[in-house]
Amino acid sequence: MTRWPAVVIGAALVLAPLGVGRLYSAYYLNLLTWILIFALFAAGLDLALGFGGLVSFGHAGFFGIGAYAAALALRHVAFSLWAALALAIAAAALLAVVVGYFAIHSRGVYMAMLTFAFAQLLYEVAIKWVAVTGGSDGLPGAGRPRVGWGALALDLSDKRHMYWLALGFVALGFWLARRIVVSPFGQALIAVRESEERARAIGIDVTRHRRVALVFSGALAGLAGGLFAIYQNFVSPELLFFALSGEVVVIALLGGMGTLYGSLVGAVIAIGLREILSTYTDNWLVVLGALYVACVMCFPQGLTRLFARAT
Amino acid sequence: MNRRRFITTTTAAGLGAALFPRAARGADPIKIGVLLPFSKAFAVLGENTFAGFMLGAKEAGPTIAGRSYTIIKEDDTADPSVGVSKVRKLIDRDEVDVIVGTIHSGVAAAIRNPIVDAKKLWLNPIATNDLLAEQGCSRYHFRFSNSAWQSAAPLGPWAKAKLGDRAYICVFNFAFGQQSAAHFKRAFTEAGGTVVGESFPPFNNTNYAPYFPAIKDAKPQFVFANFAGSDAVAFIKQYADFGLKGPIKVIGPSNLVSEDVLSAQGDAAIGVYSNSYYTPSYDIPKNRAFVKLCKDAGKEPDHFLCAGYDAAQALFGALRETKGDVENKERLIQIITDMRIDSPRGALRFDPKNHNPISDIHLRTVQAGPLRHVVIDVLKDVRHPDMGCVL
Amino acid sequence: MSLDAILTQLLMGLTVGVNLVLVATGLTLVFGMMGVINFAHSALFMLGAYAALMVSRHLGGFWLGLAVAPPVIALLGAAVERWLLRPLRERYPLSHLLPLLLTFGLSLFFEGSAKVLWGADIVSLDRPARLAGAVALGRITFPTYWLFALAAAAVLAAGVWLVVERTSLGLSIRAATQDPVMAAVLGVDTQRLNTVVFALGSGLAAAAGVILGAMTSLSPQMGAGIVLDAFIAIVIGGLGSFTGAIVGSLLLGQVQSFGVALLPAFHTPLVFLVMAVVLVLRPSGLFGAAERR
Repeated sequence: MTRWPAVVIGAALVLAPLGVGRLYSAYYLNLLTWILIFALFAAGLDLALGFGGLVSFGHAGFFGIGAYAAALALRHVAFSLWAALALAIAAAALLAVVVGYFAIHSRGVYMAMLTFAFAQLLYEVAIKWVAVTGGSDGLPGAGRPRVGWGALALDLSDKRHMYWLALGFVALGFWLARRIVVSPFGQALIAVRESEERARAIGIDVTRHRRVALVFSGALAGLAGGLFAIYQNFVSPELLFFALSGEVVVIALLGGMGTLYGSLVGAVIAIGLREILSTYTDNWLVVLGALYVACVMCFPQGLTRLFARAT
Repeated sequence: MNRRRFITTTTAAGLGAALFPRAARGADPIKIGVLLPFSKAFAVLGENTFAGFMLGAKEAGPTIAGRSYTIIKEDDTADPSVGVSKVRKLIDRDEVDVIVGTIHSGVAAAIRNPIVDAKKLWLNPIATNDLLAEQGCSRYHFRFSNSAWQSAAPLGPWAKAKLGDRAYICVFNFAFGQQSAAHFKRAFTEAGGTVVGESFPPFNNTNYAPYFPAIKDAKPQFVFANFAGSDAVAFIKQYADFGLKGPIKVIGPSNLVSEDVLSAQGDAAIGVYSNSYYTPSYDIPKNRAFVKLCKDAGKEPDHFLCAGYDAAQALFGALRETKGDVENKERLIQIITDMRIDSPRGALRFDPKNHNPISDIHLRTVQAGPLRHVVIDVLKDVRHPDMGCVL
Repeated sequence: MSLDAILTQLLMGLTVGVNLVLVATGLTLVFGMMGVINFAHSALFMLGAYAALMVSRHLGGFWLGLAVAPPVIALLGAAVERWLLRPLRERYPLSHLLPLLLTFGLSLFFEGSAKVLWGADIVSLDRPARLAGAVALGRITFPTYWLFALAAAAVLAAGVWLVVERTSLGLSIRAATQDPVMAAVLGVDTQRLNTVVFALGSGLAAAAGVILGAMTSLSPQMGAGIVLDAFIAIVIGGLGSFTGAIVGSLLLGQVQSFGVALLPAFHTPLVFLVMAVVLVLRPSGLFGAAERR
């Protein structure tokens, strides 16, 4: 991404909360928080899918397990942001290790179906294990913790503070993803995606790279899930459902696979568009579907590349 | 609203604003937010509830004590995350004074905190969560239909007396299904009955046949079933197909054979017992008028329409009493708590302990010619029991 | 479990399984030939049911609906392939994910359109009176309509099998599934074949929609569950393999049927477990070709 647009957008994102109450209502900040968290989620997916060539139709499993882990941590372990997020990342990473163990030898759609199966299994557990997860009615949050010390403390019940926290973690997540991609590991991963045989021929351990990529990807998705649980102060099994997995694949695709920052564009479109459309018409599904089709037929490279060409 | 009305109203409002500065603040329209599912699986239920609410609004007229109102409707798609976001929109951006919603109990659980924290009046037409009448109850919340407890537990003693003492429970594996099964089981066994088996088919299941052999083998006298929407249609149709309907009766909450699914179920539903606070064939003057009102508007009356209509009656009735003042929430809450609403279901009043309706529960069976529910028994004044609600 | 119960569960599983074959065939052939996961398949299933409903309401009769709906939806499928999928794949032949996004958008569009056209109400497709009641089959009774559903789907599936295995069209399809480039070199018009296969798959899904729709109910979301089952079936059977689709579907039908009876608390995960086990032992499914992309 070229320099100036990035700086402008970055500045706008940082300054966004200051306009609340004066320029626009808190609702837009809330929506933007949701979009940012999902952009992180989709960036995690992009790491596996766009850079690693690993097809996952079950990424909601990582997101959802992170969300539940955070919610349960706040309730039962410690009313602390760091505990919640640490457990969210750990749970998701652990799940990624397990899924990787089973799925890594499968290709393409087979892998997609296995990842989907894992996520659905977790969904079933969430629905059945009512005592722990609250079942299909969901689990109300234990509240939003305070972060920091003294004058630098963030009260996460304040929507602006929650936004800044999310922005901070999302920026961190994107930065980490970027570092992974440009590192030797990341380059090897791209090589594996391009041609497994050639990568093996030059000595790259294909299976290990894939597994590690999945773990990074899952961890990022888990972080997003943990943030979402705190942001919403509520978790429900929908966060594990395959419809969410599909939605995040769409977000990654809309923005352009393999661009990372495209996830932000994709999230703005997928989530923002749906929110706005559904306010104006009950038949937003038709319009959204038609728009997706039009997007694919007209801008198949994803909209980030469209912007990249323009700047 | 025609132009002359509009001009008259606005002039009156303007004059009023000039003459009564304190009331001038109230010259802005009252904002009513409606949060219901209008797409995906629950769409028809959301549409019906909204239609009922609008029928009530139309009866109340375009203004309340001289003050106009706007209704802002949002689609929660029966997804808690969307519900929370839309409620934020209604509260923060649209600055609504009242929220009317919703249907899916997960959404209701999720939006409880944002609404209560913002101290908005919350009229809940349908969502059945027991939570909202127990630990999660709130003075701002009023429910216009029965809780999961009310729709299942009273059936226990009734079924033991009228249907037999061996029951099989078959419900969908979601909160409402699980909760209703637990309540029925407890009440039925306390009344002396035996539950001979249970099964929990998943939500959104189309094939119930594999569950039937187990039901047959357990030899119950009846089945307590709870399914909704397409699942209810598939279950009832297949239950009849496989010949269980005659020997083993079926009883369940209203959604099992509610009007939105009854026509699709057709003859397969004949003889099925259900319970509801509202039955279209219940012959009281208010209901006859309501049925006509619905049919003139092109809608078949059902309990969703009734709940929406009653929510409107409660809201506009309360606003009339406060002369359009919507700021003083405590007063509104007190008025509604004390209100006796002339509802198509009969008399509607709220339990001051948990803001759940004190319901007369109709026990009905489906009869043919034309296909409809016929009330065969009424359990009066059923209250959701005291289970930790502190208002 | 009594013998009666076992026989009944077997028949139930067979009915579900055979109809699943109809849905799965389209999915697996389209994937095999074009590498496309067709997310719009559930919508085609649903539209088939609604088309039959329209015919039944305005022209009269379930049979007419069953006869008319599949060809109509087959044409719709052909149109989608010819004017949306083909141009996209010609521009980006290496992308698997773009057609995915396209079919995903289409599924939303079709589902939303169904709601616009027919409303959100749950409606019923009336079954012919002649198929009401139950039939005695030795020791057990089985609903007549279910038997019809089993027989009709079996006949259709057999018809497709004949076409795929015994005709030159079928030979071209099998060749193109194994190696599209080679088939094209040898003179197979793969472009036209793609359209034909897409249409065939759509028509079969529509037929299943009519048959199963009359057993349950119609709503814009009705296709989601069965297409998911079909995906699992073709993954188990091996993507691209018609035989795999048959085996996977029949297996899945029985697993679901007996799973409910034998492991009531775990039958939903059971299906995934079966899929996982098959994939661990044979990563490309039972009859799937080894990875060549």
